[in-house]
Amino acid sequence: MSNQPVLYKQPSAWTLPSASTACVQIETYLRLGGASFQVRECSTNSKSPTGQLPAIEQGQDIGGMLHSSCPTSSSDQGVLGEFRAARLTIDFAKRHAVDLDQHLSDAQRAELLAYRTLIQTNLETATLFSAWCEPIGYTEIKKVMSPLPFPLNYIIPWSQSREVKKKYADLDASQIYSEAGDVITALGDRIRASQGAFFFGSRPCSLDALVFGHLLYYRLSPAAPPVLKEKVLHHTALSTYVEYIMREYFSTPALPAPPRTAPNTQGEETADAWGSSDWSDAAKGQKTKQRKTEPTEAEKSFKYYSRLWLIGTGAAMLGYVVMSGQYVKIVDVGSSLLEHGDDDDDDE
Amino acid sequence: MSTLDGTQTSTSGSADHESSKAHSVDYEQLFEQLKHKPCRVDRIDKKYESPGRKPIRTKASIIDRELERVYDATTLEEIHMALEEAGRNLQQLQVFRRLHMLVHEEPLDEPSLVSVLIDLEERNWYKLHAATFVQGNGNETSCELGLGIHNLTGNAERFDVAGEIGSERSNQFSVSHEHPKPYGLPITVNVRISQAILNHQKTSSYTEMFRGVLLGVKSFDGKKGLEYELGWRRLTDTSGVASQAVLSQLDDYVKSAVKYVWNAGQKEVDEETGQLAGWSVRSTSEVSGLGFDRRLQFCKQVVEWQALLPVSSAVSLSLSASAGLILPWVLPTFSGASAAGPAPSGTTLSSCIADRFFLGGPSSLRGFKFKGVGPMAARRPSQTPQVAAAATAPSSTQSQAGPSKPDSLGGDLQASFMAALLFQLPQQALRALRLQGQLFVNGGNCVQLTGRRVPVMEGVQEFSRTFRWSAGAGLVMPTLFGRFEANYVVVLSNQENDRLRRGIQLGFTASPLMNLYHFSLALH
Repeated sequence: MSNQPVLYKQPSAWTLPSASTACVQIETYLRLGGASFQVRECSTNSKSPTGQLPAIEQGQDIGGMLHSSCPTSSSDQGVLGEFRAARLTIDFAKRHAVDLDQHLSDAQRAELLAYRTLIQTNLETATLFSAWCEPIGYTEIKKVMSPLPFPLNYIIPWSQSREVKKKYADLDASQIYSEAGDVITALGDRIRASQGAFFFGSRPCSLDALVFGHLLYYRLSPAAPPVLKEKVLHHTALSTYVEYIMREYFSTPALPAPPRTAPNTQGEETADAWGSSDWSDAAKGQKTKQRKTEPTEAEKSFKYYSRLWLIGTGAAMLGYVVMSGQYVKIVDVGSSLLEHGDDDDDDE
Repeated sequence: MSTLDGTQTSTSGSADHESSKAHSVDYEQLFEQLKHKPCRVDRIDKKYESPGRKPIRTKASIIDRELERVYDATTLEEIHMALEEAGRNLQQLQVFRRLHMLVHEEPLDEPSLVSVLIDLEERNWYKLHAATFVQGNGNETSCELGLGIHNLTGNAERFDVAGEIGSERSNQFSVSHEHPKPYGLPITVNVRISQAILNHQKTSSYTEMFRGVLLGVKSFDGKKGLEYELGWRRLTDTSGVASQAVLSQLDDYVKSAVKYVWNAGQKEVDEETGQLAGWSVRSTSEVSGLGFDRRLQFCKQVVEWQALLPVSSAVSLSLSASAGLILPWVLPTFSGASAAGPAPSGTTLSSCIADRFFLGGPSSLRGFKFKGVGPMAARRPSQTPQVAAAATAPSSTQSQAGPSKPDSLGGDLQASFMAALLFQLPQQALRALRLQGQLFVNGGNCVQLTGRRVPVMEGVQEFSRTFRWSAGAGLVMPTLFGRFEANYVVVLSNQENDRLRRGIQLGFTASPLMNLYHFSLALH
């Protein structure tokens, strides 16, 4: 068996090395470290030696195993476990292939840990949410899975989407994208302030691999939300950073310039180059409309009795106006006719 | 007067009423005398009961349909046969707890006319079922719980929900609906939706998850059946120790298969020895890969045969054999080649490990461990955190776990054979416990024909060259569902990678066929 590491990843898509951001992260790490490795593309997680993508194999050892105690538990596997698997594979690559963080100082390691936590908390959530919970993102992901035999090409993405939606059911989309945007801005500012091409100078570290995976997804993937795509595009330092790594380490032509469209200030929906007419308002960076909430029982009861009081008050006022005689005179027609008849008789 | 309760019959004529008081009547002889006399059924009286004294749910048309032939009978023998068949068909519906048929000699003034009384009692509409299986699927202990709703609409339909949980974290859940004799046709239609998670990590380092639907049609007597199964099969390994051969099999598949099952059998009491004798055979043919997933295209044939031959009043010879073959097939595309290139030959395609045959254990090949015979592949060392921590030492380049047992890969061609001499034990106490002794010879083999890039004939030659044999003696306790065995086994012939179990071997043999041994005990 060859001693070269074998990287198990999802197939490439949308000019990205892989449709999965987590797989891009580990591949970036290996390329940044100059490690030679082989790639095995797996259409589903089942084909991985760990049951999860990404995974890495070197000789008899494998990295990226989640060590789930129950082989059937889905809470930490599938799409929801891919970023954790990426971190585990990076840790494995550090031990068996190349350690990109060995040159970092203690302060830089602490800073790396802080940024890593930010990425884990905010960017991973935004990436998964946009890919699996947004209609456009989910459609693009399904296209990537279309080579699977029918009906798996519908069932598998649907089941994965359901898991992600279940996990993020309590989160607000606008908050997810807002926090992710803040993290992107912070990362961009950090890169701008760096003395070299990478976060901590001229030598790459594991943070570069983690960040690049997300930035590349936002930059090139049609499943990325427009609000974050624009954030990356319009941040010069980030665009330069992404293009540099792609050019130097992935040996691909320069990134195609995306069509530039002026930001829509009136908030109207436009069919821009990314066909975002079906994106949610949060994904487009617009304020979400206030959701109409159902009134509670107390509110319904309050409204009902309020209406009754108003009706009663109005009726009382109307009755007063009518009965006072000052504004409306009520005449008894029958008795008045009789009075007129007696008068006539008297006259005769 | 004739009574039919199950299959037992007794007859007596009206003229013998007086003489029967004085001395016993040989009803069987009387029936033999009268069975060819002209006789017709005048009317059928019905006495139907249901639990709780409610009206029965079973529709009258369901019962009357079976009794139509009775009116066409012209002799007593024909009436007996018609009632026997009607009783058998009604019992097969499994909705009646009691079924009695009584033939009266009324009306008395018409000796050639009889009347029939049908006395039946319905079962409850619900049925709870709980069971524990030892050495069930995957050689693990499992508990099963089931709820059945039977005959709720009166059409003798069955609606069952069942769940089974195993000690190795396997589990199966199913919901099924069975409709016997729709529109009076002699068939049973069934639909089943199921999910099964089968843990084969111990033997082959993979877990199989299957979610699917099954549509089946079988003959009313259960001897023939045709079913179509469509499902999602997922093979994964979360332990990280799967061998390369198993690793290449892990994936998501769509199984679309048609299966035909045919059963035949016969049992009778041997006149010379007074023992039960019989045989049964079952053939299963399966064609998979219909229209969805080309990776699961295969043809599979399994034949199982079993026979019980009495040798003397206390000794029986039991023979059983099974053989199976699975071969993948490739459908040519319209252009004559697959989208990926020229269609590969059948031998380079590999059958799926979940469809292959496995050999070893007390139910197939004694003297060998469960799935301990056939192709094996070395596993990867354990990837548990403790081992991984040991491997993180800078000086270590390889996991320090010791060698683990290999993965059992199964085979495409399998055969097993057993001949056993069953005998009564001399001790009365052991006979009372229904224990029997046995001397046996057991043989079998399992080879892989596909996925090895070698000609199929070479695989067949290897099959005949590497046959395994074992022999031994032991005790057998037959039960309704199979045989519990305790044997001392000597392995006569084995191959290098086989996993042996020499000495004492305990096990439960769940016979897939009619359990002839259980019936043989009834006569002792």
